[in-house]
Amino acid sequence: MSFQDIITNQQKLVQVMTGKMIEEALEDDNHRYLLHYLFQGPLTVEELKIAFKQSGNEKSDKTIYRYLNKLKKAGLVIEAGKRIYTDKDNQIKTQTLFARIAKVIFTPFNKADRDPNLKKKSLKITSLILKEKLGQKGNADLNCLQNKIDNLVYSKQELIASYFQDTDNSEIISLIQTMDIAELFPILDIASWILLLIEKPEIINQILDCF
Amino acid sequence: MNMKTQDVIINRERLLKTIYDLESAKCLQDDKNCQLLLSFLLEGPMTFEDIKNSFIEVQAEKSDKTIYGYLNKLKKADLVMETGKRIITFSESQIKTLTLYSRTAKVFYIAIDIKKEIRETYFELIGKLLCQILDYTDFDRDCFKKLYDDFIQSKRNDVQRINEIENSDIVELIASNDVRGTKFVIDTYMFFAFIAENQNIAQEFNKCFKKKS
Repeated sequence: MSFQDIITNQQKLVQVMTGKMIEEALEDDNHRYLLHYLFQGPLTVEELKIAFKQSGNEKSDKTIYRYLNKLKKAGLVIEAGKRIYTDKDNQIKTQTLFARIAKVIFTPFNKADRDPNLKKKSLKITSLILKEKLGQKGNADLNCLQNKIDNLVYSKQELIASYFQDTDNSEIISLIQTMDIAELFPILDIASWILLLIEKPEIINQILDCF
Repeated sequence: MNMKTQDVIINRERLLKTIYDLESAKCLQDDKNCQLLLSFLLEGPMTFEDIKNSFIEVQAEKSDKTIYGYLNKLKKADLVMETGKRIITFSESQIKTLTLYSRTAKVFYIAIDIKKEIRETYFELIGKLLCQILDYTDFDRDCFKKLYDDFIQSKRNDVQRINEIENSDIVELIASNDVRGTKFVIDTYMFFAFIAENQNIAQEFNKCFKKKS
């Protein structure tokens, strides 16, 4: 069966997404699996069904549509275009292609990422290290520290996302298109740190306000 | 976001199609509404909405049910086909597809096959007519049949050659005529093409027909 994929809505490269709807959508493991399957590129419902089945997590058409609707509503998935093909009776048919809103989606305030105990522990360690290194006498206000760190992460991700929004450097774009998510995240993380240090160095000093 | 439209063509219309069956020929020659719909499609593939609006533009508004009736008739006669899809992108969460219809060929040429038995009768009559008017005593039926069959074969080849024309202006001109006009143009072209490519035709003819001494 021969087919043509017509893409009318291009996915972005990097996008930062926050908000209650995003958090709720990402709480569901199946939503995260679906987003993961879409990482390689736009897929039809049939292809998503196969992906779920291959991971031993078979889902019905109806269920996958339900996931897609939720993710579309949260803005994490878009209708990217149509697959046009001819069936065995030579009739021309179409299937919708779904895609992630962006190849790399940052969700900086996503509670689903957090194991509360682990978060508390690492915050404590961070505050102690900073206290010693910065020569502070008193302990840090942990809530304040958490907020500053959250903002720092958000700013980093925003900087890299807006860089990709504005760039038309085809070399970078084509390199990113071919990379796996496991390779991309560390690279983007380093780049975003460097951007932060260049463009918003003051944000790091603001951590001192918590002591 | 502005609405974006993209036409994707899967089945391309041919340049020329020879019509052999009576039903399709009737549709082309006698059915005014079929002819009208086919003329709309001369400009290129259209959606159902486009076709409906075309009828309105020529003051011949038709209901959806009626237009679907015409389309089904034309599809059955293999004069119209589903050629592809129009993709309309309203937003990131809404993409619509509409079916595109087109003619199966730019030019339709009617060549109804005459039944064998009837052809034999006509053949005998043509021979006798030639003898009567051109003053021949008799004709060798096998010899004349061969000449006649060569003529028919070259006609078929000549029609095929029209399909291979790359000059789209000529094709457009042929297509812009009604089906009778098209038939006249193509028949006359074939007749003269036969003569041009068989310059010794008179000699061949004289081998088959006995002149009165």
